[in-house]
Amino acid sequence: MVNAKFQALINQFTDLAANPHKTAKEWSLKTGKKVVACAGLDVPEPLIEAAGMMPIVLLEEYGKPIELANAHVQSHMCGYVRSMMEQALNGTLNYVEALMIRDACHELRMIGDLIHYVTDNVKHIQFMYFPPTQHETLTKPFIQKEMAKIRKIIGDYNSVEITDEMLAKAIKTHNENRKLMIRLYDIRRGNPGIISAVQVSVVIQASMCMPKEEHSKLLQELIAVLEEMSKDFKPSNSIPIIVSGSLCEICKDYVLEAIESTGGVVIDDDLYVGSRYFNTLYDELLAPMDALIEAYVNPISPCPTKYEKRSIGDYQLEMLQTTGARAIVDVIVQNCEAHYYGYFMAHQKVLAAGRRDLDLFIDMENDQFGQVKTRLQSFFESLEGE
Amino acid sequence: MAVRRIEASANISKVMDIFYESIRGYDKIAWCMGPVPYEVMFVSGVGCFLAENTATRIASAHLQDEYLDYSKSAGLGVECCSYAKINIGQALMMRDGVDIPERFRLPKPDFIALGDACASMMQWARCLGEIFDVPVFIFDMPFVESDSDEEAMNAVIYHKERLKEFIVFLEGITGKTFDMELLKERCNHITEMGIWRQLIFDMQKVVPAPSSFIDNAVVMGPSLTIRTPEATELFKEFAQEVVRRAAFGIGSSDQEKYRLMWRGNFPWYKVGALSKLFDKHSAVLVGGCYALLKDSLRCADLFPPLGYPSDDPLLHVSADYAISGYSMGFDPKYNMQVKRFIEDFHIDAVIVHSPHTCRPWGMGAFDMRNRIKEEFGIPAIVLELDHTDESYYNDAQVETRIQALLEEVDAQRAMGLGRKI
Repeated sequence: MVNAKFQALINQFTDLAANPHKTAKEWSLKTGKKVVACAGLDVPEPLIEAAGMMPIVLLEEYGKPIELANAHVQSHMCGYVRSMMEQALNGTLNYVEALMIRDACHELRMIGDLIHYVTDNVKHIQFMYFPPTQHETLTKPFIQKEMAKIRKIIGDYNSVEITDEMLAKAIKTHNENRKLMIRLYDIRRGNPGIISAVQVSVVIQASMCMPKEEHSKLLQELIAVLEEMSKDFKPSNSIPIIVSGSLCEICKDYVLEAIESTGGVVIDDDLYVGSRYFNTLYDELLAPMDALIEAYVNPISPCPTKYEKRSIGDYQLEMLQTTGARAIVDVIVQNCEAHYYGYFMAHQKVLAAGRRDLDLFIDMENDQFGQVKTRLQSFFESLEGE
Repeated sequence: MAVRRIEASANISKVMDIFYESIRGYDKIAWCMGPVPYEVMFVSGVGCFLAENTATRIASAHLQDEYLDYSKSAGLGVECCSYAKINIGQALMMRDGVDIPERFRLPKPDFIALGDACASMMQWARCLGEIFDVPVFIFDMPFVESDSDEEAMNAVIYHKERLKEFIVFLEGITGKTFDMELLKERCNHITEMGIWRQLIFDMQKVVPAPSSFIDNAVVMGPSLTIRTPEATELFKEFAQEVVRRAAFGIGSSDQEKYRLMWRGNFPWYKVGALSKLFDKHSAVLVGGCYALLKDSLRCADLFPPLGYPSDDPLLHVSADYAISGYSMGFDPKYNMQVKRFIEDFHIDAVIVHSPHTCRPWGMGAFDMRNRIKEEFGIPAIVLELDHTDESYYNDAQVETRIQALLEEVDAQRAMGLGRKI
């Protein structure tokens, strides 16, 4: 009975995540809210929510070939910006009120302007620059100004003036959703295998394309079911793994499935469509605008497009320590230059600490199922031998 | 036919060798990426150099493969910037005690400094900081999205505030008080250098062009990094030679039939080969933001005529460094890097270089080409090569593409279009 309910809920999340634009459009029709697409996790979603609109995270269209974008974005640029251009050109983004992009890497820095140059399909494109150095004295004052500008622009999209009260309420809504996802991850860590990595991924994907309150309602049900299931659950004795990376992209199902079918069990993650999306809570004790800024400068997960003293390697070692995972599987999206550097140094740090990791360079436009599975099998065999 | 090189730049390799030799005499060393204020570091007594330039030198000597392979085998992704791969490869080789040819040896850094015009440089700097276990100082470079002077000026003012922090940082590194008077003196030399470079820039508009883009590209080292009175002297000689040639109608090429513009950075390992190739086809590269004044063009709009405010040395420095073509939106980039050259330099066709491992020059290359063709009606191509990784270069293909480009110019001329010669 509990298992049937669990499966029914997972099916619901899977349906919602399967076609994120369809889901977002349906919710937009149902609620009458405009949709704003966000590129990069540092776009302050609560501002959009506070303005009475629905923020969604723009992801690569899974499994759809790049055709029109080839004339504008080279194949050696990352799949995410190629997909953004494709979605703009093929009309997928026609329904959004705005596309908001945080200056994260050079591809993202330029893609908004290029889309704007080649098509009128996207109503508004707004670029945001926040200094990448997170802890310098000039950083916060700069972001304060930029964030105030963005607040006005977002308000104008919906002809409202965003008050502090509206923003505080939106922050609370987002925090509630984030806390639930944190709880979901706690349950997974305590009960390895109770929910698969792919199932967790669809739960997070759904949160990126629907209203947060609605997602929270479903998630509360899922958590209740998992708590019930955990009472007599026998944890998996596969090798506990943290999966990390897949920046700006969904970590493909076949990668997650391969990890869990070749000897590993994902007990935590440091994925973009994963803990990176929700693990930083907005500080509700601060003034709401300050809470947004604080979340940018002091996130839980270090980002390779920003700069703080703590590196991805430091964070991975912390995660290994606190979760009891045996190793990290780093999923690196082909042509994501920022992550190449970030991974390179993380790898050196993890090795120097006597821990293990495996890099999987994933081409987002072509699946490499066989190669990935073989590498994972060897990796887990070597871990078993230790 | 023969390429008529500018004599003042003929000894550039030696000039750079002497410069790198002199760096070894400093107590404190900085490895730098992007636009960071070199003159400020030299005034502080810190020896510094542009890491991209060190990669360029290695690539010009066709020795880059060992460095590229070293970083790759340590786990650095092959699609990373080839400057970074060479430089990080060198850092790893130094850490691991691998022998490096005398000419390319570098002293270990005491810190890393960068202007994060290119978003990837920050991680490159982090890698170096971790390899050598030294601090990293970053100049954030606010993105200038539009052509608005206010936006550009805000970037300059922001840079100046960061510059003040940099000086405090340098005082901490060196244990010495910063000498503002010495900086003023340096700034005067740099202004003078700017005057000579402006003259060289203007002279490129002359038909036939007395110097080529390549002549200018090979002296980027002194203009970007050395910035001493000796560097100013080099540009003075360069400018005087160019003026003399212009007066006598002497061109860089014996027969200048096509005037081309190069947009983007340059495949440094093919400087000689490309120079000969263009000359063989009676073509001269006469325009290109990469070698000619580059980012100062935007500053000159703010602080005319050269972009150097004279009364405040910190503002002088910030005006020179705050605005990079890398941290600009598509419109200002097009206007600054392309449009003003095509309009003023009698350009017949444009080559847009899309380096395989450089996102700042690569992103938007196709649309840059399309826009040139639409707005100016002149032929333009995208060449997908690389600045220092030779594996992306194919001589025969490049020649075929350039021939086709020139044939397109001929076809236009036959129809009475384009520049008359």
